[in-house]
Amino acid sequence: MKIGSNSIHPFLNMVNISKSFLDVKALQEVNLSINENEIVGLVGENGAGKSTLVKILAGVYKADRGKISIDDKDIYINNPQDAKKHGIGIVFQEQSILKNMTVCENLFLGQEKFFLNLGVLSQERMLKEASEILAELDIDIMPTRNANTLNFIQREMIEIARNVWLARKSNARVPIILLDEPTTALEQNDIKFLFQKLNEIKKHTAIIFISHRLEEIVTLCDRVYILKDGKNVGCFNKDDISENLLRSKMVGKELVGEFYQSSMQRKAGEKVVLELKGCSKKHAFYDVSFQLKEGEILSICGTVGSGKEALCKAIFGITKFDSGDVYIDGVNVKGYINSPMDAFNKGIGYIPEDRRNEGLILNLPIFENITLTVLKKLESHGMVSRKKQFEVTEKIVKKIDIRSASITALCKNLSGGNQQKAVLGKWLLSGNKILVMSHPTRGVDVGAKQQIYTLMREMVNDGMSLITMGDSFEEDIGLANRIIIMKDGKIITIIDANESKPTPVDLIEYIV
Amino acid sequence: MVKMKQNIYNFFLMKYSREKIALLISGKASFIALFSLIIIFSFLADKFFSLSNLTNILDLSAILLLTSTAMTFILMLGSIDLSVEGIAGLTGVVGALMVKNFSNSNDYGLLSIIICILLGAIFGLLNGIIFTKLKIPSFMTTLGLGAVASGVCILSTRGYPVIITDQTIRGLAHIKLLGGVIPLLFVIAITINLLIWFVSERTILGRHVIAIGGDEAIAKDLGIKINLVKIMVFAISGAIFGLAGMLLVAKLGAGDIRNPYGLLFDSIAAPLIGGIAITGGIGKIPHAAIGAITLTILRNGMVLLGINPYIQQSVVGTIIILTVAITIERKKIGVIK
Repeated sequence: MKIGSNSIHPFLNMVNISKSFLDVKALQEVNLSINENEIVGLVGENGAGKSTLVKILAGVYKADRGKISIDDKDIYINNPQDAKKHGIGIVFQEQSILKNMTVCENLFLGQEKFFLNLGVLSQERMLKEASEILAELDIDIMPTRNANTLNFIQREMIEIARNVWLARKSNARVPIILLDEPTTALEQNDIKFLFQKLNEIKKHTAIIFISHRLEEIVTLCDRVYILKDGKNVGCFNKDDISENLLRSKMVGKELVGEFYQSSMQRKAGEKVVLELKGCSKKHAFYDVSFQLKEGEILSICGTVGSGKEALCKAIFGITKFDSGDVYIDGVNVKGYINSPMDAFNKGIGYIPEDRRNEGLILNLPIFENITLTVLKKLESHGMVSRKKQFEVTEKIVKKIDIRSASITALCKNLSGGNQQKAVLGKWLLSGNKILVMSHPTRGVDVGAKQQIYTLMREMVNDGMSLITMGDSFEEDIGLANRIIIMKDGKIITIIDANESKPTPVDLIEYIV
Repeated sequence: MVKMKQNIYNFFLMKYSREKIALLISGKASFIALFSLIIIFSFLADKFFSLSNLTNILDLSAILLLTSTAMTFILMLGSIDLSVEGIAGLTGVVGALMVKNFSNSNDYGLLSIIICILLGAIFGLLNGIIFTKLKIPSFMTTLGLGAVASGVCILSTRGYPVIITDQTIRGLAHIKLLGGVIPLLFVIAITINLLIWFVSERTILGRHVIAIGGDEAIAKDLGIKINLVKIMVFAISGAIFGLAGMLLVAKLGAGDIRNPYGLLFDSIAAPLIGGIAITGGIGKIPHAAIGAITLTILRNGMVLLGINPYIQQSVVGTIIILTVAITIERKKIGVIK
């Protein structure tokens, strides 16, 4: 049986879709089908072609070859308008909700023609239809509310509602909603809420769901397609899916428990490099004390509002501690760290969650970014020596395997994983011994994740110490020597993971 | 009532205090500023709170109200139009040459106003097309085209004013309605202000202007025809600038490139004082009227108090910087260049 074909008649069918960009074959004869009331997952490494596939369905790109049919009738999608006519709508990772307008106006933006009376918009009818669609999808948001008061998840719901409404207006039998990594910026609670909503909404629709987080795919999706290098490599029903199976299919080789490179884990040294004693910040965290040892990976676990993010920011001087003492290499530095610059000079580095905006200067080439923190050391005759910049960058790039045609390529042209490696490379070069990492593998594909884990192990072996907030419990457990559990701004416990690793269930028990 | 409740609700949901202030400013604060100015000047200058002076203020504010209405529409788009002086100057001179005047023997009467509006619209259209198709920032496009208009104007008259003798046109500026209290010019201006308000609130074009001002990329993704909207808004504004140019001639009795001098500064200042965000997407058209009247009262009051004109200019400048400091959305811009 051909991968992706389905024994029963699917509602939408994509057959033998191929697409090339110049010489790169993004998709080769890919098949995908969706039934009504079904959530189909789409996974694959970066560059596997997931986004290209849904963008073809949404009319953003046009397929070179292949057929798309709905209810066994061929359809032709040449632009986003065509896709909308067939009830296909896409919700991008970067949201398209205007914050200066109301929910109601956002719902119908670009489609106001349905509400015209002699050239004048009927606000009554807009409000009425908005209330109806929101009520139908059980979204509890007033249509008159300003969009700037909505949070991320609410805005996502509005976008889904917008697509469902538009599909109805276009007389599409079943709205098809494409979600391109909707959970990347969400925290556990919100993800749970989103999934609950999606499970309700699928009663009216068909949903294609792209995510990097495999555990999400496993819990949410009725069926999962796996793409690798632009080809189908598998399609599994809910009962057959497991994270390990997906992971191995995506990477193409069996991955065992070695995913987090636990065998490379070293024992932490005796020397305490960073110590917090009774540190507090109002409304964020209280009386936090812990030690970070040389060569240790310390994970901080907790839900949103547990204070872990605020704590990490305070350590790097982005915000200040209200009270408490901070020791670096045994020296009290309280009052000396008032800005990220101070923290940097004291030997602390920080890898922000939002690497595109905070971690890298996207319009500068790789070598400029990597050498940014050490320009002083690369001076000759009072000027920065480009030769030295190239030399050190070449070394780093080789060491951490940043894949790019040249080190003069702009960072914005790198994939997510390579961008994150460049950020890591920058700190590796800086010589700072303490590194605070906020979600170091967020939005990075499986292959690059593994390389980043390896890199983290190597950094530790070189004597650096890492504080990390992982994207999942598994990541925290897999990486850490010790795990700090935070709840409501306090440290509940510190789990030793040197000898035996705890299970996610153990952590959840503490957190909830 | 529901809407007001919603506003209060929104107000308390805001996280940052500066955003709260901005919300206040875009709502009531411009009214508060206007009324406190009226009260202050009424106490300080005895001639201020008289019927004749109030008529005078309405008369003085009419042209500014027109141009700042057009400017507001453009600011809401997130763009800016610096060609107001050039367009108003050129259309004024062309208009003056078409009615009875000392320079030639034309006599087209009120038709000249239509011509001025069309000429302004053509320049606006050019602004819009150059801005969108050649992708040149609007401030640069309009600055350049405004200079072109000024140049053409000076070339055609060698810089001399065209004095008009047409009594119908001159009469426009002198007619006062409602027992000689409300100047006709003000009525025209406020009508156009309300018209543009209606367009911005209740038509597709208007809503799309707000959407583009909010976030152009998103508006584009949703299938809004960005370029068309921009070109139309610039054309509409150009037409209003053209009308303002001819009404200036009616008021001053001559077509002259120097007529609209100073109008650019005030046309941008008035919307900002009224609470329009210079980054686009926020504000309502009537705020331009509030801003224009406030600015006129400020200038009028300072004159009545005998304040040095140079200091007056500095006061207005300071007020603009303060308003922008409060209303600008720094988060949205990210880096200020």
